[in-house]
Amino acid sequence: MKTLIGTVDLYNRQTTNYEPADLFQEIDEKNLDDFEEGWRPAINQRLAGLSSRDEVTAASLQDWHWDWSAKAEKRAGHLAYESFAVECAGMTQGLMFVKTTAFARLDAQRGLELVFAEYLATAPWNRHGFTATPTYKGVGRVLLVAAISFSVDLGFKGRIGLHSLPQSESWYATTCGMTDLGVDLAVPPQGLRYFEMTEAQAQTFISP
Amino acid sequence: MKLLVSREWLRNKIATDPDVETQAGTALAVLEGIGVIVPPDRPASADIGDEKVIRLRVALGTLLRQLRHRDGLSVVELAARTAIREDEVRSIERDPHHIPRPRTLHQLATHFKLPVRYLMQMSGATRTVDKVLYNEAIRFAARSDDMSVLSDDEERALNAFVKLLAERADA
Amino acid sequence: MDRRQMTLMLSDKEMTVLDRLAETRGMSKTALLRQALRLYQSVTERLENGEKVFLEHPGTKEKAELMVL
Repeated sequence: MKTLIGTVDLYNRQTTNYEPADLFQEIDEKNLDDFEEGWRPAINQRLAGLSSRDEVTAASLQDWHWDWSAKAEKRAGHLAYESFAVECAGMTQGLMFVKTTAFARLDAQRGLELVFAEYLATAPWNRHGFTATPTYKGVGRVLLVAAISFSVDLGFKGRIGLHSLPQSESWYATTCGMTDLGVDLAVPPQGLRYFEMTEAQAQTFISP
Repeated sequence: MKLLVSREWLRNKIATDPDVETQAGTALAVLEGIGVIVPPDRPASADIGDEKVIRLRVALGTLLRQLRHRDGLSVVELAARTAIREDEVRSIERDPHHIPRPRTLHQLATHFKLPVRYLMQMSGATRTVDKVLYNEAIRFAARSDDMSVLSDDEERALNAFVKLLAERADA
Repeated sequence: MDRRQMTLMLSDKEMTVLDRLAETRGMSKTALLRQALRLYQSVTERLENGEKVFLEHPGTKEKAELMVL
């Protein structure tokens, strides 16, 4: 069942004000609808812009979205999967899907349980890469804190793992202080850099 | 579940955080592969005139044209079977300045049983291109003559290239 | 979040294993049992779908089938 974990503040870059946002565990229909009706058209529009076309169909993208909507529904009854959403101004601003049956690869914690983020994203209109006037800042930090908190809640002491997209590597390596295990070539199409956070790094990250 | 930090802590950190991208996840690699995640300084027409992309599109056009010939299909027939416009089939096969639409590539990938992400890379829609793919694609295109019937050599080269695409997709 | 309670009776042997696993992996006994449940659900579902679950030795690449339903 969708549960409110806490209320946080996101920074609206356009108005330069902070706005209250809710962090939820276990996403629901509203979040999936926001993903389909809100995020997807924005992404499609960007794709159309690339191809200089008016028609906004991207079959691969549609497959992916369907796949993830279907997956999200299928995962509802599965203990191994959990989802989180950040909502602000009545719209889903951030989404995260995690897996709890994953194990650490970093030597220092090899084989120990961790929370593995399969998907961590802020809405397209919040990203610099999408628009010259991105809206909310802070979704990434909120979701990361959620992942760490969830890890602690499960008894995994804050250990998390994720594959960073290239443009996010400096965030995870430097700001978040995670360990870089190198490019994981097993991720199609050409690999993604895999990061883990240790118990100690998690402690440091959430300290005042 | 309890959030391990206070609302105030988050607010202060967000204020001082660098304003950078934070996207993560293997699931997003798919989007990256089909060119949805792009750097902010890449305008829509950046690839026109970009030599590498032009060469890739020539290879893409050659590949699709040869597959069509191999299967004994006319442009009209292929267009009908894949629900793509005829002029678009011709443009992809012949015009390296034409930017194919993602849906079109998806239809062609399904029809010819090719990995769609490689077609996307060959169409210039993605920011990054597999190096091996690039080299093999250029080499493949260079071997082709522009006849409507494939010679034995061309057929062999075509099969080898298609096999490579399938193998890399499975790797 | 809703919580429900269960009383668990374990043999000495089982309790010893539970204690040791929890200590080795740095988790409470409850946390460990909950993780075991998650893993069990994942594995059995795959088996029910007709998939096979293998363990592979990294060095020899020798495979041992984990279980059959």
